[in-house]
Amino acid sequence: MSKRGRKRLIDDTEMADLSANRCWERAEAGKAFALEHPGNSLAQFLPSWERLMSRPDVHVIKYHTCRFEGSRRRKFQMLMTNRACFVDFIGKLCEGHLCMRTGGPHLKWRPTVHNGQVLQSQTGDEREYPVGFCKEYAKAAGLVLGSGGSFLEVFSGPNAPLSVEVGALLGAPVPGYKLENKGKGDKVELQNLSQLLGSHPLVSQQASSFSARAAPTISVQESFYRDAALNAARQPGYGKRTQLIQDGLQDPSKHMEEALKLSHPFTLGNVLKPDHREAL
Amino acid sequence: MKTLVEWKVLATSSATAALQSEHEKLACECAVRLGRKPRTALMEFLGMRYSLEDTAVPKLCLTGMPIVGKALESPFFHSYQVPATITVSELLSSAPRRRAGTLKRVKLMGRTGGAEMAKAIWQKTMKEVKAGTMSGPYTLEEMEKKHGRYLNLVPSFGLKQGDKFRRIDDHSASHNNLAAERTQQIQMAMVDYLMSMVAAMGKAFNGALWIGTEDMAGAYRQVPLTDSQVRISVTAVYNPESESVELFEIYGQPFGAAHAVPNFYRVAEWACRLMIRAFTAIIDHFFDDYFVVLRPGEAEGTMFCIKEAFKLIGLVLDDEKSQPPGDFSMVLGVAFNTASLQSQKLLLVEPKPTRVTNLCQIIDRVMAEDCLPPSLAASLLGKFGFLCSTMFGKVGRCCTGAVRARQYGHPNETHLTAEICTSLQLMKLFTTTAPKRELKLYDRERPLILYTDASDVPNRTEGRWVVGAVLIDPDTMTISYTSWIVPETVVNTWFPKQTYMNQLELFACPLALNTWSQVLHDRQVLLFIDNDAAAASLARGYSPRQDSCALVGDFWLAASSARLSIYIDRVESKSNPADGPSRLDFNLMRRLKAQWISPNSTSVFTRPFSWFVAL
Repeated sequence: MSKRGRKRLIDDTEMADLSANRCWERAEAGKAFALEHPGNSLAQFLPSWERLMSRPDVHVIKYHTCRFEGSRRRKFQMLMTNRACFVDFIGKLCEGHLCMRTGGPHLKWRPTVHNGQVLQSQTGDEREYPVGFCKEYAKAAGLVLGSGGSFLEVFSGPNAPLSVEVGALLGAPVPGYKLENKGKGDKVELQNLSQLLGSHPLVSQQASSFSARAAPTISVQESFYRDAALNAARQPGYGKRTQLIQDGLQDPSKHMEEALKLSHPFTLGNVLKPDHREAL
Repeated sequence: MKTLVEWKVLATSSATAALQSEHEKLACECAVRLGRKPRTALMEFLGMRYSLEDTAVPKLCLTGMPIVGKALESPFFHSYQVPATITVSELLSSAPRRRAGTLKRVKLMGRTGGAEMAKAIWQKTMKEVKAGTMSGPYTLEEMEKKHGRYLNLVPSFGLKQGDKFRRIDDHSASHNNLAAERTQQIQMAMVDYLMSMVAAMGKAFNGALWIGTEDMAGAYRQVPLTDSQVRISVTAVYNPESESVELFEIYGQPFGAAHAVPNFYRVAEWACRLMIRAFTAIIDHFFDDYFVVLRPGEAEGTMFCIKEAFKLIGLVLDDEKSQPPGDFSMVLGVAFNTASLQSQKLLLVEPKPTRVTNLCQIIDRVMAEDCLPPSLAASLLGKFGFLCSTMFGKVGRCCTGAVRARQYGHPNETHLTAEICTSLQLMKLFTTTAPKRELKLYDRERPLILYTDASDVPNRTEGRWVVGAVLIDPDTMTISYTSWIVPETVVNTWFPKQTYMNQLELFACPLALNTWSQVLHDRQVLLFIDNDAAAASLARGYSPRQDSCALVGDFWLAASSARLSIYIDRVESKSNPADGPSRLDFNLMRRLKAQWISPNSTSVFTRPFSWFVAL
């Protein structure tokens, strides 16, 4: 594991242990808690989590996010709580190929790839709880809190949508304003275009131009030495290559035709600095 | 020779002498301490004559260059901004309180590094003092008295490199590098570019070629530091005799200072461009290492001109490191073999024998002592990675998985596991036996086009796993294809998973090379794959998954033994002609009148996955 990966693992484990231990303490004191987490997370195999889940008063509620307004991907999550009223509001699973809420297909998880380049990973869209989930959660929380309870969300993210909904229900609005992601609209548009790739030539063309924009810019010198490496029979990293035949032909015969016109990239010609070319 | 004579005349002319005496008045104290060797007046004249873009270099050799604050900019390099972490005033204001810690650190490192290293580092420092690039030793009081309260100490420590010791002046620990604002990036010519130079010259002259090298003596120390920054570079060195830390002033660009890199590199680049333009030499450099590609008949004369030219401009070459032109030259740590260039149009790049021996010795020691700490694993991987750059294609890279895992493992894990032992033995085996990297100067035949694909369809009557491949020979315009239902016995050698798409996509590639082994020999190949993960693994020569890595290893072994120059690229699934054969659908192939070739799976069974996991 890389250094960064190891650090992330240690930090995540610490956060998971901290959460489970605090929930355990609240449960011991007879106070309410709710712990939300990905349904397949390895955290549930931590001793602290196993201990919490083994409590007879703890409900492990499994649900799919797509069952709530605002989520179009079937993300499997779990909510651990010591209050039973959450079960009805949250415990909704989605079965079958089509979404039980929308009746349509779920959005795909795979990253948006065009011409061999990852344009966008989809996990960013699922960063916050769906609006529908927050509303349902708030209803359950309202029942638990009654008129005089208090609510605290830990690890809430910058916009804390759950706190906003619960606060609204309790008549105590959360201060501050929503943090908007710069360029989010552009990304969504790009994502939508990419998902339509292949269905319409115009869309494909537009997405190609987005792809060019999304590609990392490299300096002329860097590009020169990359070409020199190629000229010296060394293939660059897969992500750094320039695709020989762009996607979009969608026809094996046409691809073969194009391939036959290609020269081998190792023999594309002399890659020399202007001074050397002059000297030669 | 005529040019050299002209230079000599110019160097001794009254105009040059007059300008030089003007220049001497501008010389900073650091430049004077370094001996004022660069003939800056001649450099200025030559710079104008050959239109060298960086006109500031001669003057900078007089006035020195800074190592903190905003970096100087050169037209040789391109823009790349990295802001400083602290300001120069923060650096200076924090200097007094860091001083005691620095002295303590140097003492501690000097003691823990061992007597031999401490002695060597001290002797090296004293040698520099004798040469005039440093002065000292001084006490802290003496330095404070001279430079005032903002004196900044730079801790130094020793590093063992093979049999030698190197003194490292830690400008990061001294915070100098934190106060250095970077403005440019340097792209450096390395092995690949030298190969490009040889190839271009080989194609142009169609004869034998030699490579010669030159090295600048004490390179960084030929370029002065700005006077005002001597106070922030006072170097602390451990004296093993007195068992105390002593201080030294440094006058040249210090190793370890971030700005010293572009400061020196622009001088080296200036000299390099001058040599190319004046003597039409195909010369380039990596820092202070210059390499020249020469025709045998002109080799001696060109090298003589270059040496004399360096002498005239006052940049000193190290005669001991100079390598006369030949057809087997050590450059940048690898051996360039141009002996086959004329007869076979083939340039070979080989590992330097001492590097191979060194790696094998380390592996033997690790195996004998049953001890591989993460730091040594990292060092071994670095050395092996460098040697891989001299092997054919991407062969060799597949075997490092277990050692990589150890590199990032817990510091207390040092015992060898069975996987690490295998990995180490394979590293040794590849290092000693892998085919050399080669570059063909001419390949008149058009590349063969190979497509591969795989499918994993549960409940398919004929079989769940199928791989397919299509080969197009553009010279004969023939299309042939193959397809193989992968038996469970093969799939069972991979780690259990729900689907085996990645492995199957990889597996299709060595299978294709074996199937067309008669055609696929000593040719250039364009390999198209529609699975990005598989294509990326093949292009990298490595996969983090052990079973996939074995398949990648198989592929490159097959490619290297058949001397195939393979370029791997993506084809979208719907354009992949191998998609049909990989689904046992041969309609397109029949329409194209393609020829069926029976798959050759023999080698797959003779060398199963086990070759990779246990020797």
